[in-house]
Amino acid sequence: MSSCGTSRFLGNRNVVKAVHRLAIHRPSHRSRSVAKRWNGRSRQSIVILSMAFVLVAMFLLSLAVSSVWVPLNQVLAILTGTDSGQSAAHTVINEVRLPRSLTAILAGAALGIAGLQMQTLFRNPLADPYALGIASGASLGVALVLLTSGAIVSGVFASSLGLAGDAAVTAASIAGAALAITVVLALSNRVENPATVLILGLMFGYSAQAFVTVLVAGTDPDKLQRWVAWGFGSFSGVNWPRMTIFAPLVLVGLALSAVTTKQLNALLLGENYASSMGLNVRRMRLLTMAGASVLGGVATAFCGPIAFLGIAIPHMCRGLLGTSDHRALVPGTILMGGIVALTAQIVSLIPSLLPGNSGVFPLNAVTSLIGAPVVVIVLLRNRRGAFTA
Amino acid sequence: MSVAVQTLDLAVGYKSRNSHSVVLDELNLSARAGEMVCLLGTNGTGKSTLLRTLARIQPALSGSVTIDGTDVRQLSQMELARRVGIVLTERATVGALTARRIVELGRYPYWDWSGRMTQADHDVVDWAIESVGAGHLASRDSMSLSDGERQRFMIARALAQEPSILLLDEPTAFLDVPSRVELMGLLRRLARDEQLAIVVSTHDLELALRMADTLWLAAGNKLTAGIPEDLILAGNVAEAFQTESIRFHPEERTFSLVTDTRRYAVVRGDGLNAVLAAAVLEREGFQIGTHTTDALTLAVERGSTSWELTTGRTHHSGTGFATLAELARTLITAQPHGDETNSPRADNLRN
Repeated sequence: MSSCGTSRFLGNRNVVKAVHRLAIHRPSHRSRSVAKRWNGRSRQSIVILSMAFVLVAMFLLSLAVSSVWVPLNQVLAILTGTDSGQSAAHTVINEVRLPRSLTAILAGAALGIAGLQMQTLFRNPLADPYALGIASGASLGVALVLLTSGAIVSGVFASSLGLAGDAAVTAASIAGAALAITVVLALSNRVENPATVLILGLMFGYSAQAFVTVLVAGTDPDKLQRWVAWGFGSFSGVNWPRMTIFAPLVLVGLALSAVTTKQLNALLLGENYASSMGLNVRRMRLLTMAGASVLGGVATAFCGPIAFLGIAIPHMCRGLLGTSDHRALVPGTILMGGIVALTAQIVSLIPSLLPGNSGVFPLNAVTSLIGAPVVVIVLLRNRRGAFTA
Repeated sequence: MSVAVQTLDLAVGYKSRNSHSVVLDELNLSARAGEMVCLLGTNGTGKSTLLRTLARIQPALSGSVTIDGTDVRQLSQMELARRVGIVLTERATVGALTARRIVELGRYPYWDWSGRMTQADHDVVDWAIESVGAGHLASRDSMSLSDGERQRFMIARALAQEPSILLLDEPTAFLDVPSRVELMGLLRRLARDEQLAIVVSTHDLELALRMADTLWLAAGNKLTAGIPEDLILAGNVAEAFQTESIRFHPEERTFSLVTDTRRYAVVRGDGLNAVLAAAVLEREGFQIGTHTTDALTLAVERGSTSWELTTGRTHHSGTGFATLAELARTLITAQPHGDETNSPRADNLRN
């Protein structure tokens, strides 16, 4: 009972309340509610731990599986540095598969968190970077730099301008994403219906795509082919030098979501309630928008416009964790984002594993095949989701 | 009792780029700790605007709002959240979140950066949930609760902020009648027990007249404050709500539809059956009176639903309110073309 004697209760206006409160507290009641709280939390801890295990397993698997199979013990030896360092497997894993798998984990986490932030901010279960035009805005930014710079396009997405070119593409992509989210959010303040906001996002997306189409129409076939390849989506475009831009930006965005879980929770009740409980809604909205723009923009710049991960991952986490509480959802979404992206990456390699090695499935097709059913399920059991329109 | 919230020459309304639209002005109001204030007024009289201004969701056009002796403009958002709790009309439906967790969100203004619940936080949450009498529902998913139960948790959440004033904007709007009465009773008890100043806007006029310590009655651009009985006596309540078709009855503190027929009925008999029989006739358009000259007479046997209705020289009798209602309906509609002997004028001529 001594814990009731906090400094707040010492103030005059709270003395009456404090006395009353002490009177109704019975130890039996307290211990019961503590037990109940612990049960809910422990289930979430177990799920999150399991997710971490699965993520590690998928990570190792993604390093082992490709057109050339590398045994898991050799993968571990290469990762821990006990391998001689001369084998072909060593080079393949270090230079191709390791950056690709790390990119998948980071991009999956980035898109998942951006989706989670959008869903909470717009209080809309169908919000995600794609639906709200962030991906289209980012594409526009990328197209402006890639298709008009005159630089020779090499690799999957970037120009031969080197890191400076990559940085320019990334900046343009983030700016495009930020433009999209600003326009949609400004308009969304004028409409009540969440469905209308999504339609606004789609309309912005179409407009951005129209600009991209105009840019693409005037470009030469070689650039055009690269552009189309970028549109398929891929985690293979990030080599180690590019990782020095990609990873820090994603990590900053993820860190922002991790330190704003209590603000995101307050927003679950809507902006008016959040504000009445002490949240500076305006600042939080700007911060979240900036964070989601960076996450969505960076992922789009480096991996192409990857569909459905942003919307599907938060819902998978809500289902598994059984809560809308961001203290569990944020870590869960980061882990789940990595798991789903790695799965999609491995699935996209299936054609290359078959006899005759017929290349890979476009990543975007794989993520859509995973994500679309999730969206359908969300629509069908909307009443049990986080937000019901 | 100390004054929890006070306004000084407050004007509320909406500011657009080059014009002010004042909804209510010259507001000098106060609510004391332990007092339940009901804010009444027809739609568009500015109830929500006033509550939003008191909660600093929107700025005052002029004048000031003082809470616990401090001007709200000088409070930080966190300080304000520790003094004012609000419950809104909007249904804040959040799935996959326990009702208890929603109440825990009310501890927001006391959390450190990580949002970790301390033991003291848990104690306050336990207290808040007990205060609204919803301890047995706390572990349920908030989506599985009824509207009334969910509204209780929204109130508990506001209580968890440990405010000195609670502002509620039509909290009973979606609720069924028993839940409305319960909720108003709960608010009244909270005001007393927790020494809270509670301001609640509602359309539940008759309930408010019975339960409020103080009424704030918004009509036109003005707001009249006082205890319900004073405002009834001064005619303020009738003035604020009475229209050509609605009449306020001060004695019963109820409203009724004004009927334009001049048919009168006298009901003889006592007990509940007689009262209900009168209600049947009233609904069908008769005015219930005591004089007999031009009225039909209804006699109801005590303790049964057998009745006997006399109009002019015609007698009808029957059992049950349904048959009575049917007869009353034919008498009312038949009147314009009906036999002259039933009309008041014919009665008068004959006498």
